[in-house]
Amino acid sequence: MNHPVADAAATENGYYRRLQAAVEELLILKGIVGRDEIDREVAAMEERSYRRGAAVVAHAWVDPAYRERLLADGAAAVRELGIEIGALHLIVVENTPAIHNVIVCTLCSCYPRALLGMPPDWYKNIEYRSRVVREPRAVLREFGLTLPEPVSVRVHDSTADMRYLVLPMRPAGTEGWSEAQLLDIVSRDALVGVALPRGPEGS
Amino acid sequence: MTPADDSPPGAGLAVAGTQAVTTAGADTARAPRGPHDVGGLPAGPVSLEEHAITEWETRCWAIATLLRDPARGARAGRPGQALTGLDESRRHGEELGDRYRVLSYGERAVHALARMLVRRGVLDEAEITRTLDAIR
Amino acid sequence: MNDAIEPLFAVGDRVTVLAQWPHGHIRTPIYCRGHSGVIERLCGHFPNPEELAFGLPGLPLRPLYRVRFRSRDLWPDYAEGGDDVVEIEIYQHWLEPAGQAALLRNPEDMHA
Repeated sequence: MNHPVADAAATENGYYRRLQAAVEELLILKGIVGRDEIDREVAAMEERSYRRGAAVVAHAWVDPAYRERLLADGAAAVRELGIEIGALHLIVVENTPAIHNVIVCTLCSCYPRALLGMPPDWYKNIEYRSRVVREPRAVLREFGLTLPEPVSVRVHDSTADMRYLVLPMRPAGTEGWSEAQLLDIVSRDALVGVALPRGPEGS
Repeated sequence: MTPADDSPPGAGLAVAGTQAVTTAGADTARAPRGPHDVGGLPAGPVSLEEHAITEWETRCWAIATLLRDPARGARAGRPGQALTGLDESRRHGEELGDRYRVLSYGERAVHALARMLVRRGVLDEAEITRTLDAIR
Repeated sequence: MNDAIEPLFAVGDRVTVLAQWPHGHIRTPIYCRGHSGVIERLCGHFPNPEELAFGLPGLPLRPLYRVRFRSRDLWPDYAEGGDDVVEIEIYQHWLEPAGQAALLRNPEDMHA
């Protein structure tokens, strides 16, 4: 498209918002897509949130056999819970006392949207994408997460067709908790590997 | 946009499946680096500020997703052909060059959506401009 | 699978990423090109994104691997944990068996 000279000014004038509206209007006019179809797709997108990923983790924490199936074939195990993820190819990576996993897409912003919803700004921005492969601990400290020294870091660069979910360790002190209680302590950031779930002692 | 704009560069396809000309420990600083290929580069602190995704960004993503279904191509006279593609969308973003960093993720996405539809003749630039100018 | 290229590598194989710098839409990050790692798994077969990017079908399907690199192999001055790794998805046509690269020319020749 021919763009106005200054992109920042174009943003200011709502150029891209209006471009989206124009494309949508024309596609509807030509019968290529219906407004109702777009509305339904938007509603489906808004329904997908990290709570789905959190539910998967909570279930894996209470059911060791499920945990094994999840690590062996992520997508199949997620579908087992009745979560609709389309054609998602999922690899679940497990944190252990010796290994901490963190997810990035250095080339764009590949993210398991079907399971976590839309990615946050920091995941899409240049700073995170540039640095987390090169100095993961320094980046994690900026998120408030300091890893103990003996832990090794495994950074997963999501460059192609697979998507990733971190299975964090279940915090100490949560023995006997219900699956619903556990679900509530799994944050979006813990599923990407830039935070840890918090147990009762804040551990 | 010119037709040449969408021809794959020879080098890009040549590498696909051809014999390697490889050098161990090559000087990566000599690579022609796209604006998107940023892994390992120095950069500032990560801003943890998050903005709620706007309605038009969501609708753009929804449209691009719907049009990725090859079954929908028939409605644009292209039976069995997807009208958008994920890698194609990314490629249009990468070709923004220096503007890649100026535009937001959502802005790059709508730019790419328009490009993909113009390339296939589903929409033309003049009608997009005309329609856009009438929107406030 | 009919229209798919046979996998050349097995889990545990040591591979080197081609040190090539083509234009186009390339999903092999620059920071791993020319470096060696180990095949962590075969992810499956997928269309070639370098061709999908131009509206082409991207067939035959290509084997896609996850390759594990030691961070200090990628960056000799890597300053964090010595056992840290980066795992990257790489298509087969970007990989060759490690060791072969050493037999080839010096770095100046690649632009000849």
